[in-house]
Amino acid sequence: MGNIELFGTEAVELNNICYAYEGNTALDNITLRIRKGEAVAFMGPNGSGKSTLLKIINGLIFPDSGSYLFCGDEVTEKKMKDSAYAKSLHKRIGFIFQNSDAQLFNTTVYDEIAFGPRQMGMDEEAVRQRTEDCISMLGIEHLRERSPYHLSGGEKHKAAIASVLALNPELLVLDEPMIGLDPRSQRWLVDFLAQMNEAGKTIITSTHNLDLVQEVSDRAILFGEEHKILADEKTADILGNQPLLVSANLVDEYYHVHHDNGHVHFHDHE
Amino acid sequence: MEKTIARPDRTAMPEWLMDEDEYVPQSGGDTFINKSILAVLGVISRVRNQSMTEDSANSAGAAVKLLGTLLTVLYIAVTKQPSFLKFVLVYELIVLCLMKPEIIKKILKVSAAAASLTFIVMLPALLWGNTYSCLTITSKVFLTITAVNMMSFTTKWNGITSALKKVHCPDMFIFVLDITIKYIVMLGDLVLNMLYALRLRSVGRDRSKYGSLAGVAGTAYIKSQEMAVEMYHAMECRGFDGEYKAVVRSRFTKGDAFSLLIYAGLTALFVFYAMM
Repeated sequence: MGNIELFGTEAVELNNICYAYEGNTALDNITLRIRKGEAVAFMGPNGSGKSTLLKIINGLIFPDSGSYLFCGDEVTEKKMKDSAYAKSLHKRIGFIFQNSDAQLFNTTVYDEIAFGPRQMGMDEEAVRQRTEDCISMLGIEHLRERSPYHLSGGEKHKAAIASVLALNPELLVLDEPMIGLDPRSQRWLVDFLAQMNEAGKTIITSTHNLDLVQEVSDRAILFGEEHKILADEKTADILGNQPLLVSANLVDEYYHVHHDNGHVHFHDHE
Repeated sequence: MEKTIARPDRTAMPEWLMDEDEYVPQSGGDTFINKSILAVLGVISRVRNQSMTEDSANSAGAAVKLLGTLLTVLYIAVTKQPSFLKFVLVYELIVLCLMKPEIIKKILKVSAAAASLTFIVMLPALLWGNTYSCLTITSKVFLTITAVNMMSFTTKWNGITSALKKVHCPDMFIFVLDITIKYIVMLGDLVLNMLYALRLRSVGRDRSKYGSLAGVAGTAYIKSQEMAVEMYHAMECRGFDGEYKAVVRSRFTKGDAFSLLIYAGLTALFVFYAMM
């Protein structure tokens, strides 16, 4: 089987995906397509199946029924048993976990970032170059020799992002990337994702953060508590549809948009 | 003093990030990670399943089941009568028959493995002509493991801890058991995610895969320490004074009465055979 062939314009294609954890439905008949170069947000309440779908996209788990295609090639459990195929998929899809602790296992930030390039068999000079590029892109020069475990939440997040970027993935998948970040780091991440998207990377972000979702995506896919897709529209349209957001349990009845200055916030105007 | 944070510099994108890598991975080298993932998944799902266990075969309360299991294990260990062991075997088989097939399979698998191991250990005794001891000890191991598993597969963890409280087990023991179970799941989840992350980034030949796994273990250890300190502080803040109050179900049900009747019968049989 070997490497995944690159063809078509769809990065991700999901057809009638169903998945259940020991009888409990996590995804119910999910069908969607994500084109190369798109920035898409998965929105939905806790337990709606967003994280499960991200795991399926990364080839960590497999749907009970339905099919998943990455760049036109169907990803199946059987194919993923072929080590070269699995490595090729993992190289092309970068997954940034919600909990950065889970992603950092090397002794220094430098080694953490260099882990991927070293795996790819690059010579040490090329590894150093790529690692330094990532370090400087994320502005974490001062963390180079620090142990990842003793960093702050924002610093860990940056180290985790750098370690994934070093693999130069085509698709970046981020699970709740804003959680645990202070406002400045959130702003930094929003700008960074925009920059990555401009560079041609396809980006899928799973998020609850309605304040920033419009800035990290052009298109949003809203998951409901019934584990189905409730809406697949432009992010601005979904954010402007309060009844839809209320029905998805993403906001309460006080949520509203100030059209005059184009921002969304949460408070009661009494 | 206001802290500033550098915004990403849009001109500082390295060229390699704009291009696609021409990289063809080699096969192999990831079996160890995959096996570790399966092992961790197995432990987590076992503990989680235990927490969601629905008892179809034995509707008795956890305390009655715990007491009955302790008595059964004690009688099996003490008895010298093969006939009594046969009665216990019949009793266990009847209860097993009322369980779901997948649970029966799991229980018998563990019991058979333990009995086989015991038989192998006892083989020298068999070769020296001590057939009776060899068969009796192997049977006792099989029956004991089956009895304990029958209880554990049909009782939720919180049921077991409240049953321990009912039989006046020390609070500290119950507390440690409760926290251990909770931590197995929480740390198991963390380790599982770390192994997933390791697998996702293992896109080639890892020359130090044991080093990476040691990193996973080290991080899990540090995390467990942090969690323990945080929990200690949280408990102190909530006035923990060393006494762990487990909720005890006091309602006596028909299932309890029926089970007690069976255990009474087993006790009578044990006494009868002991006096023979």
